[in-house]
Parts: sequence; structure tokens; C-alpha cells
Amino acid sequence: MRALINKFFAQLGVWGWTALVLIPFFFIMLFGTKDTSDIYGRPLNLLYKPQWSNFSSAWNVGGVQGAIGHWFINTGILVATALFVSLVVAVPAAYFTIFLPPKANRRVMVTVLSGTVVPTILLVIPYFKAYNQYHMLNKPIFAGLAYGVLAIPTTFLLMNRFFLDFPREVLEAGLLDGLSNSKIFRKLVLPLSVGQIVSVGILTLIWAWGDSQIAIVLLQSQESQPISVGMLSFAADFTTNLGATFAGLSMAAIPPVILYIILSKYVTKGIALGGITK
Amino acid sequence: MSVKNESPSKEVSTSSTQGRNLFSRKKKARIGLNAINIRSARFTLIPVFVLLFVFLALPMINSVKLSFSRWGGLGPLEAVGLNNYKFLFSDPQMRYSSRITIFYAFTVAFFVVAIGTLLAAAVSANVRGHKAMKLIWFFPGIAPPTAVAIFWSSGFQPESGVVNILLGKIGLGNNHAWLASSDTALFPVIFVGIWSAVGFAFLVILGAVEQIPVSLREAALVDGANMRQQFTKITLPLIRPILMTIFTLEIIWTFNGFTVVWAMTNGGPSDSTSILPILAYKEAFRYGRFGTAAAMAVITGIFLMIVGTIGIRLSRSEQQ
Repeated sequence: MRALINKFFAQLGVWGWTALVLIPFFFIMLFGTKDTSDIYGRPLNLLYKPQWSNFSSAWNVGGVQGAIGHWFINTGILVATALFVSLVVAVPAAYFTIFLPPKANRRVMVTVLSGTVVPTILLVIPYFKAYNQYHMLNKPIFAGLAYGVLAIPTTFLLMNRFFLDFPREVLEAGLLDGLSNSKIFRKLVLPLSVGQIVSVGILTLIWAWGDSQIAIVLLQSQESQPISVGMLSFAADFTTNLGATFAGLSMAAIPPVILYIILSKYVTKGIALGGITK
Repeated sequence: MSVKNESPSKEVSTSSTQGRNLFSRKKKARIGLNAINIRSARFTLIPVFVLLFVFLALPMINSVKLSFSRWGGLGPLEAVGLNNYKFLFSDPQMRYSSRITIFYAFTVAFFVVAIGTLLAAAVSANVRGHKAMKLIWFFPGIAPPTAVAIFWSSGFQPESGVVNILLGKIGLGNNHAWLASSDTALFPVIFVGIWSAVGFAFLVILGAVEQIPVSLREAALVDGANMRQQFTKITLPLIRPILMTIFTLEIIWTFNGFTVVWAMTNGGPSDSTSILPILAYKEAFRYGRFGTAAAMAVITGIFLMIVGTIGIRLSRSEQQ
């Protein structure tokens, strides 16, 4: 009997939390397709005529033609740069570091690890100063560079841990076959590490896609803003056109969620592996 | 972190025992593998350290330098000694912001770990639908923080907000203007902070729970323990180190958190939700006082270092 009651409360708890998690996604989609007067008048009514024009007014938010489109492009440039920088720099280093004597490997790891706990606020003011000085402000590619470098420690640590457990026999077999060391890395190791690289890359992608603290400082002009910063102007728009606001929110929030559902295997693995080091 | 520290030493032992058993040809191969790759390691580590120096170490040094100066965004720095710090220590807003930042970070971290642990316990007990739930619970961690923060900030508006609509339906009134009053604005912010961070903590904690051998829990069941006892007597003690670590990290991340609070309130009304990163951001980029802003950032950094060190120490000692 006791066990049954426990089980009942556990079940109630998880359903409750699931509902709480889904509320925003449900209402973003519901209100995003509703007429604004309907949102005020009969917000919970589920039988209504979808108002698709919300999406076109959201697309041209603030009277700028295709504003959201520009934000998506800027976010794309930023995220792609960040991924490129962090992976190209950190993955080879993480691989070759495993051949260092264990003590040196550990010293490298601790040094890199200290980079994961630096508060962002300590960085953004000097970034602004330096970017301003070298005319790098308002360019998504340079903001992406900063995100990429800040993602290097996590990428390095997770990949290093993965490569340490990599079967050495495979590498030795490659050497006996006369492959050079860089060829072993490119032809043998990389193809076998795709899953891990995707997992780690997704952690970087989620972060760079959503963060606004660095972008708001380095990308101040309207045309250079990524979606995480551009959307802030929605917040001012609540009362005038609620429907369009929610349509905009759903355009920003739904694609990552769909991407996540498709790639969830990698995401969960990436977090289980490295949750602690992020 | 402590888990990671073990792996290199583990590597030594396995490679040396293997090395002894290998044929000499393979041994030679291993030596070749190491010698040439050590050069590659040095070569590939150079860009890592150069970039980390330029984007982490250098800015930190510059922040400290800036915190002893006056700078309006243009021209050279003007040294002012300890003035910025002296000003901040007597500034009531700085004191208020420090207090709410600590309150905000600890409250969010506590609830995130507590809820995450309960959810992990439920899933490991195979509640119905746990596979789908595992997927759904991470949605808040995946959606852009700006978007969810804007949604919730609209949701907490009186009458038109979803939260108020739902409360109205169950008879609790639909015109709570939490975000409009400086007495209550912090609570919706804390709620959203928890809401968006639980998914991540849950997955990490679940990972730890699933590493506990099933036989251990089965043994407890055979001994007549019920579900709750099994959780408090077996699961909880075994995952305590990881809970400690994730608690520390949540404090650091929430302390650092900017996006959720900024998108919900801009730090308002009248700076009642201006946690330190927001106060520093405004100080620099609204009021052009980069020197005081840098001093705030340095104080934040020192505090985080203390929290981080204590947290890591605690979780280490737990593990032993």
C-alpha cells in the first residue's frame, strides 16, 4: 500500500513537471497563430481560425524587411565560426596531448580547466575595448571567434578524455601499416570519433546560439545582431501586437528544439559525458 | 572534475601492464608513436594556449587594470587608485545587488539540484513514460534563453499573461503584477532560472544514478526496503559527490547568468533585479563608467573563485 502511494506521488510529480516544461512551448505556438484580440478575449480557446499573418509581421519586426532572416543569418555565421574555431583548434591538440607523459597531460588539463570558470563579465569589457580598437565590433564572424575560443576548454577536455580511452591497438596497427602520425589521426582516429565530436559540438552550438551576454556587447548595430539579441526588441512589443510577438518567439525557439529531438542521442551523451566540465 | 583527474593515472597503469606483455615489434611501434607525437602535441597545443591567453588571461589582466582607472569608452585610461573599490563598498545599490545575486544564485542552485535529483530518482524507478520525459525535460535547456525569458515575462503580466490566466481559472485571481513591483520582481526571475536549468542537472544526476549497480538496489529490496528507503539510504549517499559538484557549478552559472534576467526585466523595476553582471553591464554600457564596472566584475570574479574552490574541496572530500 505504502509503495503504491509512493508510486502515485512519483507519477504525479513527473507529470506535473512535464506540464510545466511544456507550457511555454504550447502557448508560444497557440498564441503565435492567434489574432491579438483573440489572445486577450479568449486566450484558452482551442477552436480558432489560425492567423498566419502573425508570422509575416514577425518576420518584418520593427518595420525592417526580413529582420528575423538577418538575425538568423548572423546567428548562423556566429555559430559556424565558433564551431570551426573550437573544433579545429581543440580536437587535434586534445588528441596529441594523450601522448605526453601523464604528468604533463594532467598539467595541460588543469590549465585548460581553469579557463572554464572565468566569469563572462570579467571578459566583456576588455573585449569591447579591444574589438573597438581593432575595428572588429559589429561583425558576427569576430564575435563567433570569441565564442569559439571560450568553447575551447570544454571541447579540449571532453575530447582529451575520449582519446585517452581510445584503443591504442588501432593506432599501433596504423603505424605498422606505414601510416604517418598525422595520417593516423586523420584517416583512423577522426572517422571513429565523429559521434563524440558531434556531441561536444552540440554543447557549443546550444551555448553560442542562446547566449546574449557577449553578443550584446560585441554586436550592437541592428544589422549585425544575432537572434538572441535581436529578440530582446520583441520584449518592448507586448501590448501592441502580441500575436506577432509569439510568432517570432516560436520561429526562434522551435527550430533548436526540433534539431534536438533529431539529435537527442548525441546531446544526452554529450551531457552525460561532460556535464561536469562544461 | 575529480573523475577526470583519475583517468590519466588509470592510463599509466593499463599501458604499462600492456607494454610488458607486448611483442618487441609492437613495443617499438609504441615508442615510435609516442616520440613523434610528442612533437605534434607541442605543436598543436601552441594555438590553444595562445588563443586562451589572448581571450582569457589578457582580458582578465585588463579588467583588473581598468578597475583601478577611470575610462569613459574613449581615449586613455586615467589612474584613480582604489577609488572605484572605495565607492563600491559604500554604494547601497552595490550592496543590494551583491545580496540579491547571492540569494538568487543559491536559491536557483538549491532547487535545481533538488528537483533534478527527485526527477532522476523517479526516472530510475521507471515511472510510466520516462523515456519521453527524459527527452521533453531538456527542452528548456535547448530553447534560446532569450525566447523563453520573453515568454515567461509576458506570462507573468497581469490579466493577459498565461500564468495569471491559469491562476484565474483555478480561482486564485488573475491580476498579480509581480514583475511591476520591486518587492516581488525577483521571484518570477528565480522561477525561470530554475525552470530553465533543471533539465541539464537532471541528465547529469541521472547519469550518476544509473552508474549505481542494480544489484545494490535489488539487495536493498530483498532486505525489505521500500522505494523511499532505497532512495534515501542507497542512491542519495552514493551520488552526493556529484550533487555537490553540480550544486557548485549551478551557483557559478547562475551567478554568471545574464540573459534570462536581462530579457525578463532589464534589471528593473528600479534596479530591484539587477544582479551583479547586469549592474556591471549597465554601469559600463549605459552610463559609460567602465572603471567602476570593471571593479564590479573583479569583485564578482573573486567571489566566484571562492565559491568554486570551496565547492570543489567539499565534493573532493565527500568522495574520499
